[in-house]
Amino acid sequence: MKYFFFGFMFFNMLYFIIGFLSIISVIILISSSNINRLALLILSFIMVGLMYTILDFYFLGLTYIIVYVGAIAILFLFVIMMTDNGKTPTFNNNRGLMKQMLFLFTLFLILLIIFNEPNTNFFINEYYIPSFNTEIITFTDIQSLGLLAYLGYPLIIILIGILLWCVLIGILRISGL
Amino acid sequence: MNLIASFGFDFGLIKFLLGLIAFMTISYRMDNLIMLIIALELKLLGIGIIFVHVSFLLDDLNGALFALYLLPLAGAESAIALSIYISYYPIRGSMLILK
Repeated sequence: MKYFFFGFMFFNMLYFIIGFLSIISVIILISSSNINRLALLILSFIMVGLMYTILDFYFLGLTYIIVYVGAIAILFLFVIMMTDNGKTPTFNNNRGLMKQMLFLFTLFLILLIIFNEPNTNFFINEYYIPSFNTEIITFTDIQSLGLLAYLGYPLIIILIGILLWCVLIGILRISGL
Repeated sequence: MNLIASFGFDFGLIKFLLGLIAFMTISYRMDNLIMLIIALELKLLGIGIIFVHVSFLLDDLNGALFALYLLPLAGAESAIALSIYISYYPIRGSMLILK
């Protein structure tokens, strides 16, 4: 999406709309039951993945959606399914918390408007000029990320593997096997 | 500074602070324990948003690589915590924070 066909305004507005939807879903997340909280969390993750894809990080956005929605949300779903026995009370007093969150959100919006840079006009866009290297040899996103991860810093991949192995052994120990 | 990048910094900061406020307020309420892990996930997501926007602004992929390394961190943390919840659920009898 470096070279827009629809003009600059469309993707800027889409970006802001996605961001505000994500923040509003986080605010509503507080005052709802468990399953709705999970659904709103997934909605927030999907919105952030779309934001990453708009910023040209295609691999990262799709990986966020796959990992969070496919793995971590299913983990939460299993825990809610195994532990929710219908005894959890419904809260009527969460409206006050939601009002607090809305107040803080509007406060942050006001701060965002005040402390923004004065030159950032809404109609003048300077957008992602690639450097000279990337104009001569154009790697895609996943190619350069793979070069960084596997050739630049290969030790971190091994350390993450050891971390996940320790997590596996820890979960087996916790569950008594 | 680019408009998108500055919006992204503010957005990541807002998300981190919303997760922080949710964590601090819910830990003093009679609420579900899973909400604490959800708030932690929100905070990690905010940090990842800030990393990705830094890497977009500087035209450098190291920030995106850090955001990629946040994924197994969040997965490991939530897996350990949820397994502890599951194993202590028969002793506690409920998932409420303050009984």
